[in-house]
Amino acid sequence: MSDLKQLTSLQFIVVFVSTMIGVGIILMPRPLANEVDTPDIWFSIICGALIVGACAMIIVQLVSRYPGHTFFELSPLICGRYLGFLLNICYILYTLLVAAYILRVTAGIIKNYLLDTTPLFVVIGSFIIVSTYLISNGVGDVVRFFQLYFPIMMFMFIALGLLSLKDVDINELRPVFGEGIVPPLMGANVTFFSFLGFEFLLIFSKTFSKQKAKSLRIWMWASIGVTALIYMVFMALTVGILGIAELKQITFPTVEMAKSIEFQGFFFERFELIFLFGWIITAFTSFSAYYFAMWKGVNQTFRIHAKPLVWIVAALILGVSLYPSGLTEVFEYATYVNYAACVAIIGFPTLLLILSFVRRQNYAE
Amino acid sequence: MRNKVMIAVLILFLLTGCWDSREIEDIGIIMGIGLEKSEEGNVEMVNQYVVPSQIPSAHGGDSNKIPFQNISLSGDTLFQIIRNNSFESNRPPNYTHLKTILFSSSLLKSERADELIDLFMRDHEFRRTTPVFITEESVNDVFSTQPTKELFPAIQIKALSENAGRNFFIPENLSIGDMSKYISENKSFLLPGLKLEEGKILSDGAGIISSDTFQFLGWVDKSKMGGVRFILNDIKGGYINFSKEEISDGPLVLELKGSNTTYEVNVEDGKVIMHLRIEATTSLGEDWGNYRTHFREGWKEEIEEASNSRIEKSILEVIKLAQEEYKTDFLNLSNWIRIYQPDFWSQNKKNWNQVFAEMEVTVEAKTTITDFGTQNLK
Amino acid sequence: MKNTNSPIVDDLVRMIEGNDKVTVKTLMVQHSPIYVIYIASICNVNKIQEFIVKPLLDLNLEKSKETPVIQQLPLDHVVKVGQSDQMMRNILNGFTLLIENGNFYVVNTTKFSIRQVQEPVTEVTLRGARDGFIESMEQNISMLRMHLRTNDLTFQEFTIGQKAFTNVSVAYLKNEANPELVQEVIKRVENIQSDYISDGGVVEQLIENNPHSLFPEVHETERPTKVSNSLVEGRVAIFVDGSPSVIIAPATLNALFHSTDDYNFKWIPASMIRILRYFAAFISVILPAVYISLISFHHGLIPTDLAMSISKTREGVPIPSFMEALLMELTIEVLREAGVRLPKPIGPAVSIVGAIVLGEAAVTAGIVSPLMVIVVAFSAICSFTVADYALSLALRTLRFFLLLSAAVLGIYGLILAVFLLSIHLTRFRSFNIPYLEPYAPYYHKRWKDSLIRFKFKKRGGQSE
Repeated sequence: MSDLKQLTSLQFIVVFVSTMIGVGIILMPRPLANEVDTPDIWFSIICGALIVGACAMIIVQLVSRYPGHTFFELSPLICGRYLGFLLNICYILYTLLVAAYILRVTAGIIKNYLLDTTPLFVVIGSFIIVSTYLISNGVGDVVRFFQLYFPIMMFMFIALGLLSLKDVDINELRPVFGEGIVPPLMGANVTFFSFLGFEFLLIFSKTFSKQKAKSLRIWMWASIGVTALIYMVFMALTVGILGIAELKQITFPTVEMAKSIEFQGFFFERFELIFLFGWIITAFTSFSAYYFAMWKGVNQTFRIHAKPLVWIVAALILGVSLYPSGLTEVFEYATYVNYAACVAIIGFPTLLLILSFVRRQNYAE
Repeated sequence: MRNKVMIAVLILFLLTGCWDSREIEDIGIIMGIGLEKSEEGNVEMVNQYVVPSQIPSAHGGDSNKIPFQNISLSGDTLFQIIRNNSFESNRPPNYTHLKTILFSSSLLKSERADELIDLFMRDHEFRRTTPVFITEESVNDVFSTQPTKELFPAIQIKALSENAGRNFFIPENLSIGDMSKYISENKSFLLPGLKLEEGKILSDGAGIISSDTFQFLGWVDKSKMGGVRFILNDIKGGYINFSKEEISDGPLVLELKGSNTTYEVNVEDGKVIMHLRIEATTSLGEDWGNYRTHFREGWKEEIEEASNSRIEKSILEVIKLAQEEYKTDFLNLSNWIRIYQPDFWSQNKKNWNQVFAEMEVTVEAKTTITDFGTQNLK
Repeated sequence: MKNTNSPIVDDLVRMIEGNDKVTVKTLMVQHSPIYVIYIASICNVNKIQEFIVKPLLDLNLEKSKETPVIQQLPLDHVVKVGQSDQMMRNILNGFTLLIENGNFYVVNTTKFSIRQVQEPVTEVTLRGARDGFIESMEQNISMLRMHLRTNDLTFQEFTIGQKAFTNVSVAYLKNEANPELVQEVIKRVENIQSDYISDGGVVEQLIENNPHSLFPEVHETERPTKVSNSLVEGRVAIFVDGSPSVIIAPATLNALFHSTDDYNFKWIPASMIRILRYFAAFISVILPAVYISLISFHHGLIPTDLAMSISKTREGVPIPSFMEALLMELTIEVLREAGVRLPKPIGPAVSIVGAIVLGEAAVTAGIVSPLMVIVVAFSAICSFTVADYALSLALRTLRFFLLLSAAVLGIYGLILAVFLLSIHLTRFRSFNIPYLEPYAPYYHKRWKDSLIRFKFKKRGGQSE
């Protein structure tokens, strides 16, 4: 059932923007404010996007040499069976970590703001079940789902941005570059990780196997650009509304921002629901992307295709996401997740690309 | 496959329960929180509960019923008090509809504001938009008044500022989020004040919270609020009244349509010179002068002059109060130093209040009268 | 019945004998017997007398070697047939069988009792053709031909059913319909293994791929104009003899929301009404669930005044709000079902009793809160705007599912349930066409006739 034609440019951008925007929109402002400590944190996003773009180009290069191959297929091709198997295992572990991390943070926020006393495993479990239903049928459904929700997600974000505009104090964003350009540049090491998801060029590769490297490059930059733009708008809004000093204190600044939109006398006084819905969509799409990547990895590495086995993957993610005892611990582990991400999305593709050059492999027609 | 998933989901739903489900009639909606010093020396907290069955319905009914109930308890922490409410009420307090937080000035004299609002910032039920007020009266008395227009004193308090756009002697509401913002930016600030007069709640100037201890420092009188709001640049409207003595052929009222304050900051030999430039747009609101002809050129010069000097005076008065009496910058002027002189600011951030007290402030107001209403009644 | 000299005729007679009045006439025309066999109750006996029996008896026909006697009869359509089971079917279809010299001919003399063409009761439109299909396929096809005059229109006939057969006809436009789609439809129709097909609804379920899904995989309509529009768009229609409902495949969610009225009015008001219909459908599914999750989970999201008045009205209601909602929903469903089953003059009475008396009394008695009545009633009214009845049934069922998930996990549960639903829809395919097309996947070219129906191009007919 899961046939899928080649993605068009619009569809490509939609899929990658949905994958990239994730928990970052809620979690990024605080560490970023701590790192940068000037109102120019929006500039860090641009820096981060540029670095991410550069990394994405490595992956594009790799993908275009092996059109239609996923990471799990091409790593044994390039490194041989055993090393490739090892790389695949590492990559699967990485997707497991990120998926569990996204899930746990999402559940944490939901528990904090929506369901106070509901057990954590119920919140996480129901999320996984719904996501399992999405990914168990292949890439076509995932892509279609992303397409369906992308306009809704954008609408929510635009609505939220417009509604919160009245609370923005432009003076909080001034002075621009008051402490020079260096602090926001340093923020790039925080923003970089909010773009995680672009590496799925290596997973969704079947859906654009016939595209030229050049168009892939343009599309990738466009996706990163759109993501960066959304992040920038939100960073500017959070700083404009909450101020940089307050931003350093609040765990989930974006939610607080959404909560403070109030229109007296209007039928709906409060609009945080719009944001929470929009945000659960983004969390769901990026989680599903990682979950899908992991499932695909398990499929292709161990050569098993029995669908019920997806529940084993689900159980693994559930287990890992329930492991930390509280959000503080989750944020501690986040550092390790970031290290793993560095290795998996910069280290592995670079290594594979170099090896591929050395071995002069090229599967492109 | 699909069916299995469906069944799994359904079973999950059915086997588990509704953990967070609370019927709306079973919760105690809290409209207002009042905090004051208890007799034992710790904190006393007044919670204003809604009593839904007493709310007068649309088709008349008994309007003498009081639709709220105040429960006041004391303890060391607010959380403790909130949970101890259960001794008295079977409805767990729910703060999602909180309209007002009222501090008594006596409490803020001995306790730090940043400590008192910690729970409000930490707990997810509270919102950053809830306005905060300060009063010298007993909080219990304020919450027990019979409100005039609204059903609840807590809402009445919140609604005090509704006309802040028509009368600049009423301060704009300060939300608890903004209060927390001032605190995390280490700034002094003003809490809108209120008082009781003949059983009615009135807006009354503002209380100063200092940046050193985040405690109550003193009052800014109602009459000085105009100057404060010119400095804060949050004027949306108001009026300037000139008596017979102040203007020839008076009295006369100018209605303020809008005002914009621009700031100019210079640092010379380590001394800050700040220049405020106010541009006020007004129209003639009411004129008792029989001999003024509004069609003659130059009729408004005198009035504009008077208005300028009035605005300048009111501003300087407030700045004097801040610089000399309280020696703390509750006017958020540090913001402009931060923006226009970032280097100087980063060096002097720590001892800002001292720098502020020695700062030189000059004011220049420029009033323009744009129109004089629909007729010239002469 | 007396024996004839022909064994084949005897066989035939024996097959029908006993269940109906089969008429077998043996006419001696120029010394060779011609048998005329038909079932009088479903044939136009006058026509047989006038154009078959009488000319044969007149013997005025020239016997020529080339053409058999029967071919010379003054009839429009005489078909020579071979097998005996086909003969049987023809007789049962109301044809007259003529046997001459061991050759079999059939003549269309059908005269089933059929009703007049009327406006369909279930699909009301404000403007446009008012004719509706009836139970005769032949008549239906004639109606379609009237609305769609093109030689592209192609019919393929099938006979399905083991115990009793039903004639089914697949119609499509040769140059518009995707050949793969036509193949798929024909394959599925041919694969039907059933004893008896009573109506189009049964065929519909037998050719579906997703029997467990709530959503209809095909359209079902009684309006010839709707069929003709769909055929022009490249869809395939299935006519079932004896049923006034014609099946159109494939169905997409988008198309199910459309009404023929959308094309008959100017594009801006038509689009507005179409958007309204989408919105109403959405409200009808989600409103009770949202209400439940707000009043029993997220009290903070309700405006304060409303929260207080809900709290006041719910004071004294003995049952939890979820049960209250369930109770009201079930009541509405019962009322609706009762309204359908009752004879027309009594139907409105039930809904008046149900809506006004029962609702008012329940509120006064304090069993339900007034706001709940508003919510449930409004969502029920919203569900009436859905043009397609099968879809509206699906949405009604879904409402309970969403209600349940909202009652367990609040807004979060509701959002997850909506996800689950949308995932189901993204996976759902009707005859290999994605159900959510053109929204997911994006087909920009078809957005012209999706949420908004853009104006027709002056040249080139309808908007794609």
